[in-house]
Amino acid sequence: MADKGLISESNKVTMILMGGEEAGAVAEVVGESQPGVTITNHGAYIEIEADRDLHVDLPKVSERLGRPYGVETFLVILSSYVGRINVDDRTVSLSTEIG
Amino acid sequence: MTRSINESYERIKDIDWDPTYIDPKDKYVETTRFHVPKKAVDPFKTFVREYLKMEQEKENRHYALLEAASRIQSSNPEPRWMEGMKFALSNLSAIEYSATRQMGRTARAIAPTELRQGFMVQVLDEMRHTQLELNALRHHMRTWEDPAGYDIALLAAQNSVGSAILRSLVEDFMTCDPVETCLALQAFVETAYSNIFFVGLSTAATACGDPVMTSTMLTIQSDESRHMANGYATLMTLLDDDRNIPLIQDTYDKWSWRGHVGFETPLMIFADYFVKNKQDSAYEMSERWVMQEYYGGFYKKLEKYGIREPRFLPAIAEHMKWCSHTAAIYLFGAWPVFFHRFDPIDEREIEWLEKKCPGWSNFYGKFWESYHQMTDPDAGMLITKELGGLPAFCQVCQLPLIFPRPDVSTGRIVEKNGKVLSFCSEACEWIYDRDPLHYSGFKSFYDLYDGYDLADVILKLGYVRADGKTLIAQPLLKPKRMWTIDDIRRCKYEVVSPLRVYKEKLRAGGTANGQLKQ
Repeated sequence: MADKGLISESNKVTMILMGGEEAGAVAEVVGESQPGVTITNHGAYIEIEADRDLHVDLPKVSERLGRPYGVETFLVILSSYVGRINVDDRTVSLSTEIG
Repeated sequence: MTRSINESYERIKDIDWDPTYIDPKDKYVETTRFHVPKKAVDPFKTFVREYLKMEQEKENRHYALLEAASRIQSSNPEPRWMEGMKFALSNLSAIEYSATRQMGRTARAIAPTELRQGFMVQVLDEMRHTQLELNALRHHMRTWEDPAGYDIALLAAQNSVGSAILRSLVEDFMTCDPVETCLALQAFVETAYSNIFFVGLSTAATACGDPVMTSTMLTIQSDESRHMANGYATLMTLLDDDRNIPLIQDTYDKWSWRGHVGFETPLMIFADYFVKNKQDSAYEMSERWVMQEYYGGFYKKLEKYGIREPRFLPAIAEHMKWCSHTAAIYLFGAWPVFFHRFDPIDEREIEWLEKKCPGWSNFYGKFWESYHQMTDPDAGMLITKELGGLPAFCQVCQLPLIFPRPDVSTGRIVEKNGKVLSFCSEACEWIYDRDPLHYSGFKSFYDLYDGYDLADVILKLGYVRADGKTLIAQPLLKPKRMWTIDDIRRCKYEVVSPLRVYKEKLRAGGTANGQLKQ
């Protein structure tokens, strides 16, 4: 498992979204725009995994939901993530890069 | 035209100034050994107005669920889980409160506006978390069939022997260097370990019929998202100055171990021993969230800055395989000094444990056989006493000296500067040696109760029900009859400090320093 030492480097990024209508819409939008992602519904939460980076386009989620949906509402359901996060007006992104 | 987040952020930061009416050392109060640059980055760019709106929305959704859960009461909560939450929620609310204080210190000690804003918002978040957990606790106290234990949860967080593990951790957090505490909490505990409990166990909470806890965990963790970013931003800021590299390494060497024994170990027990409807094992959760996601997805990438694998990582990896099982025999073996009813594992679960942890039966099977034989108060046998009494506790982390596994314990009793001290491991001893004064004052179970009859310990702790004599803790959910103080007294168990015994042997010219022999 380890290349050197005990730790193997991983480039996976993950979003954990509180289960519900909004998480479902986000998962659908991300699944369509990034076909390589893995989406798992655990009931209490939905997990979206990708290699290296992940982007949530909030205007598209808003369109899917049929109502306004901005950054601060999305952050209500973003329970956790793996990776480095960047938040701006219209997208929330994860990246595996450091620095 | 509305300004973008990035433009507004830059503008607002420029409002900051260096006050002339106070000396910096009076303003910052505490010093840090780290070199903190003047500029930093906050990936969340948190504005108070948007923050309040977001948090209000979280509260509206969560408390609506709490209210509905009180009215509907349709879930069938699993008794073992509900009893376990007495221990979990009592400690969690105390931890969150300590995090509030940590972030206040860090906000005061760290100059760059970007980081300070994140920390000050985290002060509010941690107060929110304290309140979320207290409200979950209160909800359970009002609705669970046996509220005893929930009603004294905050007292118990301060005086229970098991809670000492978490108390010593948070006291270390609250009193160490104010920048170290930020790396320890945010860049370590919150990024690596909080996911195991707040995400990993959220599905277990649902499976155990406790939607209140599911929602509490997931909404708490949504704030952790920003805390992880606080930690990352602070770390990146510090890495800009090469003088910080050895200090960061030292911090990670200490807190990788400290976070594992003080936070991960007590939380891991829930997945294996408090969830009847089994989900992932504790080890599987740790492997995923800690080794792969945290160490592999984040820590490994710090190599380019000169940060090496933590010094005790091999010991952590080994410890992780056994710690939930060893923690379970500690908790169940010491059941009279806890404050909830216990529900021991059954045959089906033993099969599952053996599958998830090959060799489990060899190392732990006998304990569980004995446990099942000593639950009847009329038989007069107390497992705590029959298995030789409580062991010594580590001066640093307060784990009993039976880890990672009783047959291969790394515990040691040693003399340092005229004091006889016990440590669970080389790692804790190393932590102690770096800063002895920091750990010398902690009063352990034996400092307080050596020589006491166990019955008097339980009375002093306040762990009896309304009748003043029936224990809150019971070895079974529905024992033949409940254990009372008189039953404990009949067992004639005197609390004996292993360190006192060791010192007596030394005076008699016996034992030398070294590892405990099994």
